Amino acid sequence: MGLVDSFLLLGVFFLGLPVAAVVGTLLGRLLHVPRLGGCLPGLVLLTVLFGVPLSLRVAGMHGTARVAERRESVRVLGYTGSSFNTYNLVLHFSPPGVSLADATTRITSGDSLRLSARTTRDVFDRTKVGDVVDIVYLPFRPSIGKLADRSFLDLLREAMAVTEIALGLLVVLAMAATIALSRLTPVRPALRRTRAVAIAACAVIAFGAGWLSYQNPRPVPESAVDTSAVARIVGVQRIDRTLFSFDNSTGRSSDKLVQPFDVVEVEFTPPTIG
Amino acid sequence: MRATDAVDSGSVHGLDIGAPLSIRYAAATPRMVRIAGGTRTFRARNARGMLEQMAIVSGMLGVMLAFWAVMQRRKGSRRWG
Repeated sequence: MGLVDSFLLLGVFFLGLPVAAVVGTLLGRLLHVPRLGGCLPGLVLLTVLFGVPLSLRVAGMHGTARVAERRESVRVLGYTGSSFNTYNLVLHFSPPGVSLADATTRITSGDSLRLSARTTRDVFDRTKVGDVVDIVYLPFRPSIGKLADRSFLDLLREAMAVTEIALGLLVVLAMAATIALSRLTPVRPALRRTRAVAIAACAVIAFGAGWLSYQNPRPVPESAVDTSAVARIVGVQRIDRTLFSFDNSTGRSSDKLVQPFDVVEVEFTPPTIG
Repeated sequence: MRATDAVDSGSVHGLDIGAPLSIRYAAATPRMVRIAGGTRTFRARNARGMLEQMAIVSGMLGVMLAFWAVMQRRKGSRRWG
């Protein structure tokens, strides 16, 4: 996806949502449909979230591309210091309708496009620069494409692999369950007891998830490593503040961590990887 | 290949971008990296700090709830007494 494509998608999100809300409310009043004001923004949101993967699935055209570059980057979550890797392959390909593509993806020399495609760790590790890979792209907007074997589920799987996202989702689910349970008004005392236990369980789950999230980043144990190497430092991030901490030196609640730490990002080439 | 490890601030010297750094990793999973040297007490110490704060907040909430319960009971006994 090119720069212009991304801006268009963001535009649909930031402008489309309020416009849809206003249009929906007006139409709802005119047509006497009270929930239309909420339905139209919902549709816009669904379009933003699933529009690209759905259109690629329905109208996508298969083709091949050459891997021009491999890009691996690390995202450090600012408040916990835990991190996750993202993997992208920069692809060059020549679809039939190059002129229809986002101009920022066009390669000046020749009728080719440059597309950055997200991929999984396994695919990234076994793909070399110069390899030819299968892709799917939109014939009417060839700058929007993806690797043929990548599915929307891969994105969800990657998101769930990030501990903070999985635990955050658990907290949201526990809170939603608590709200739903608190709205119930059971008549029988046994059911009321069950409801109280369920609410308590939800609270424990929410606190437990919050606590587990606080346990990150987990250092790799000494027993798990068996090879030495010299790496190059590519990034250092100091984590010294959090919203929930207690300063022992002053005895006061503070947003400073008791023990600051450095998250060090390194780059190296192990012998098993070319 | 890129990987991260976290160490207590100040426990490893020369953490400058571009500088070489000795690491250890698992051959089967090379992204599991451990910086050679350095201490890693931050998790335990920060978790203890958080527990202490949670205990204080819970204690304050408990005192407030107890105070509220006493006031409610007094109000009730005054009404009936």
